[in-house]
Amino acid sequence: MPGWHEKTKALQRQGKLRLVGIVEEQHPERTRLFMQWKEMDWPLLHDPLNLLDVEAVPLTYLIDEHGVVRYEKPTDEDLEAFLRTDYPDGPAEPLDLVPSPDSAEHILLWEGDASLARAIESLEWRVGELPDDARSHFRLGVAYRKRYDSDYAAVGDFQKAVEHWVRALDIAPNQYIFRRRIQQYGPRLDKPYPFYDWVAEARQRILARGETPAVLPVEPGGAELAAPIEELASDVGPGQNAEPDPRGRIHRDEKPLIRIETVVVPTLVDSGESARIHVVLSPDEEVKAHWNNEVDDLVFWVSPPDGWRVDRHLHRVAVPNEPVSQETRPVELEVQTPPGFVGSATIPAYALYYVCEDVDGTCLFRRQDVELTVRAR
Amino acid sequence: MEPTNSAKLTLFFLLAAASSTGASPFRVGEPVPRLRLPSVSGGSPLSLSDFRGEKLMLHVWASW
Repeated sequence: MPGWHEKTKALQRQGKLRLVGIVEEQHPERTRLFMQWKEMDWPLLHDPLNLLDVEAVPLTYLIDEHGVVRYEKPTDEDLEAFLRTDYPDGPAEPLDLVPSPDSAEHILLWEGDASLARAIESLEWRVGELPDDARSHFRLGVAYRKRYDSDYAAVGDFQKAVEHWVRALDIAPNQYIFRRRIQQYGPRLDKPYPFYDWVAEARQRILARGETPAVLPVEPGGAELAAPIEELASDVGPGQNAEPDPRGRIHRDEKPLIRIETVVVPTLVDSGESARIHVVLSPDEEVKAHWNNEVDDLVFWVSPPDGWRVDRHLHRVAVPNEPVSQETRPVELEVQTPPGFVGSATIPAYALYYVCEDVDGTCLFRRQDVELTVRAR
Repeated sequence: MEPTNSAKLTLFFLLAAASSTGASPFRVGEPVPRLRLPSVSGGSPLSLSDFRGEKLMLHVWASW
């Protein structure tokens, strides 16, 4: 797109050509930031549900003054010919893709986050009636992820999003919009490239111009920034990477004060392939739990069974520079199933953290055991 | 959830379309589809038909 933008700048200024974009991402503000960085100032629309039913992007079209498509994937010569031609008005009636007013699609496009539950309910009913409808599974995944990112998040939303995207891709394996949505959160062994590693540079360049970067309501992180790898290399060993509580002597967080949610991407891996596991740790707001940041980082330890590989056994989450906090802390790790393994396996893991029960309460060092379940076929 | 008549109608059309995906609605020689989408760049929602009268280059893309 930046290439076409540069080539058509003069034409846009002269009023000979308009540019418009449609973004096929879950979080369109990221494209807005990209456009701000590249000084692309044309309108950008959002098709989160892939109502356009495109299989892959980018796609470029030239559309005449009567709204008729004249070129797909045009060359420079096509553009010149397109601009020279006065096209006749076409009589054809356009394809109507407008969702009906009470459809889940309409709700997802035009109503606020408070209506997400209704859209999810409607799409759940639909996939029940049409279990092999890839589009509905994909859109249901979009809806669950949208709710996960909202103030209305429910436990399990992210995992359900992944489940429905995986189902959609199983049905339509050539659909790269579906595939990219899974890869965005998936293992590095299955990534074509880092998805959002450009965000930091974009912000720096925009700030250097004296502008304010576009706000991202959902900050990319973890898998979304990670570079692809070809092999998992475990780091178990002495010193910094040694197991922190091998004999299980640290008291357990029995209440627990920290809630832990795990999401496996993809939900079902091929034998010998890898999965990325997102572990989200958040203080229980109901008991006013909060992190104590005055001592040490949060650590997360994974003990894979024989034959399994992990990218790292020990993960650390740096604490913020304030005495206490209540933020959500993510840990992302990758596991590779042994060749020939089929079925379900539980990988033991645990988190160690400093947590306080309420604002004036006692702060404790606690351990919470976590079972990470990976299924392979 | 009890399906509404409109939901049943949607289901009917989905059944008719089966589950084949990827049949792009942008076909050379055909008008652009009727569809209004939210604007990310600020301002009102737009349809591609809002650009009638102008020559248009459309990019369907993603930043990744």
